Amino acid sequence: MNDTRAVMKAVIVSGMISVLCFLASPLPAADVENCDLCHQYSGLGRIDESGTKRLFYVNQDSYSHSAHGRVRCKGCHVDIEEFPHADAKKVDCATECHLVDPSVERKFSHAKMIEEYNNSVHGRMADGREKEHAEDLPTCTYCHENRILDPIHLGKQLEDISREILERCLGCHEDEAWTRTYFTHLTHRLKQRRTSESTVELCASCHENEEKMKRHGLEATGTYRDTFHWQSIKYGDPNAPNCIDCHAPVGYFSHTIMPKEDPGSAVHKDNLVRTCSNPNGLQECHIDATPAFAQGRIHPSGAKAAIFDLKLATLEKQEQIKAGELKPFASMFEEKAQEELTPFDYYQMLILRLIRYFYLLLIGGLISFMIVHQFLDFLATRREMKKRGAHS
Amino acid sequence: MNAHHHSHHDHSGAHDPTVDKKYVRLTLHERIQHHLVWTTFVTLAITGFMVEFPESVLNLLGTYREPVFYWRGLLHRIAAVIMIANILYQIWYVLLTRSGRRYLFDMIPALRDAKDFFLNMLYYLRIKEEMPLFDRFNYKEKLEYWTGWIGNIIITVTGFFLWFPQYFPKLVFDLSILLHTMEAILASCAIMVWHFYEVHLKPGKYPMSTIWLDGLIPEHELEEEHPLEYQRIKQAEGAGPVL
Repeated sequence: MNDTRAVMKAVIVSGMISVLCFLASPLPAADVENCDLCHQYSGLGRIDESGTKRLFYVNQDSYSHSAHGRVRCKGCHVDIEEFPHADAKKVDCATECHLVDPSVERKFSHAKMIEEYNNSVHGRMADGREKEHAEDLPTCTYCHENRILDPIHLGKQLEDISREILERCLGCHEDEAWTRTYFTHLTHRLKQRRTSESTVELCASCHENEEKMKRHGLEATGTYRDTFHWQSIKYGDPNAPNCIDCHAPVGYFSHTIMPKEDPGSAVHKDNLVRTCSNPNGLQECHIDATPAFAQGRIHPSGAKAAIFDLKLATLEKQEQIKAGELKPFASMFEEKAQEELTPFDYYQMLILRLIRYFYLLLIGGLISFMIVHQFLDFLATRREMKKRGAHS
Repeated sequence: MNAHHHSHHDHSGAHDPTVDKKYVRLTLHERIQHHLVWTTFVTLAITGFMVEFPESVLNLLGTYREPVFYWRGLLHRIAAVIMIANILYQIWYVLLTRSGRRYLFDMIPALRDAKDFFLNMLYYLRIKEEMPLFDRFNYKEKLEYWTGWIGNIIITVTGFFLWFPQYFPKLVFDLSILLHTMEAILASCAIMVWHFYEVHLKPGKYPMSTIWLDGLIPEHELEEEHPLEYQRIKQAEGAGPVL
């Protein structure tokens, strides 16, 4: 009994607070569908048939400030007709939602984008058939996570400028909440939404997975994290290129990334000079890149240049070598690589590998010799000092 | 070379406490060059290996990551230019000054160094009772000097290619980044094991030999470590008036 009263009280109080918030907030917390009645509880969730823990809690405050904040729940979860409801279908991002696109005055939908995406290397279909292992391919929500809108603010003094611009919009657009939303919507897109680190982690979550890449006939990204590109991203250098900056630079689009054999790819051999010199980009790259420079492989697996190659000495590889499955010096010349590599690339990588092994031997050998030599010297010097101490 | 100084503060554990003479081992030019080498080397090693730091360490820098990266790159290049200038200084010194030519001449490796190494090993292993008689520069110092030259050339050339990569074929870049990193690791390890032991950790030297500061070596040390040079100095002194 007491519990029910407490819940009622909580509902009423929170209702009053949300009304107050609604009045105060620039964005409408639009729970006209009453979904919040259940989904406001942070413990709402269950373990589904596959044993996965699912959480159904929706933080209204975060949601209303997100990119989809003005879309009602049923705008995407179209199959829910009653409540309480049974399992909802997976949301289809190509759904036409209730918002009217002011540019064409038609209902808004992501369908056009999805169509383009489906034709890219990441799309699920090829030649009218679903690709093999299509379940590995990223869907919309794998990369997009309904972000909190974060309008551009270029420092403290420029907050005033933002307000000034908004004031001008409000001169004609009378609804302040609406105007503020569109202002935020636009300026949010004027800047990079993910940090470069987070972009790399996102792409690497699949592309550094050797098993997954093998399934699709691809070589895993082996050495990106040895490049200076990544090293400068680690330091947050805004000029450092993440995956997108080279694979979909200005003039290309991340949703239409193509395989590198396709002339429409930014890393196709004929486009490399432009990609490396990045003439129209915000970043200052290799402006004077020559064809001789802009070629070859940037982050191949199996040609690790750095010393910190922990994989190299793993027992697994040693066993593979013993079993004759893997030839030392030749792990990168596996079938696929051999088809693709020109003899020039092949010898280039062989030279780099040999130099690497030479140096590893030199460092190991010379430094070991030095340690032994100096240790013997230490013992001899101590002996000598003791002898002298005994004399005097 | 056989200029000598008088000192009343010889307290470095000499076996003969009556000896208080000091001899010049490093000239002013040589000391300036050493100071330039060690300061630029330390700067280059720190700012260079900083790119290999893992993210977990960099996250500790918080918002300073970006300026730290900027200054890292700038300092690395400034130190590199000073190091290269110092190489030119060294070339001028060993070719065009009397003491420099002497230095270079004494540094030239000879068959005798291989023999000294072999004899010294026998001494370390207690097969021979006495260590070989070394001249002004023993095989350890010659090894350090000449591997320093090789390393400096490799680092300088590859560093230049890494500074302006876009004008050269990608193979040059790949080779450069490999050699630059490997050579840096080799040089840093060698300095820490070979050089730091010799001038800091060796019994009798700890915490450090002061030759790099004043350039002077106490007479007893000269006699023990460089007996052939010592004999030559003594002969020359014997011929002239002793101060």
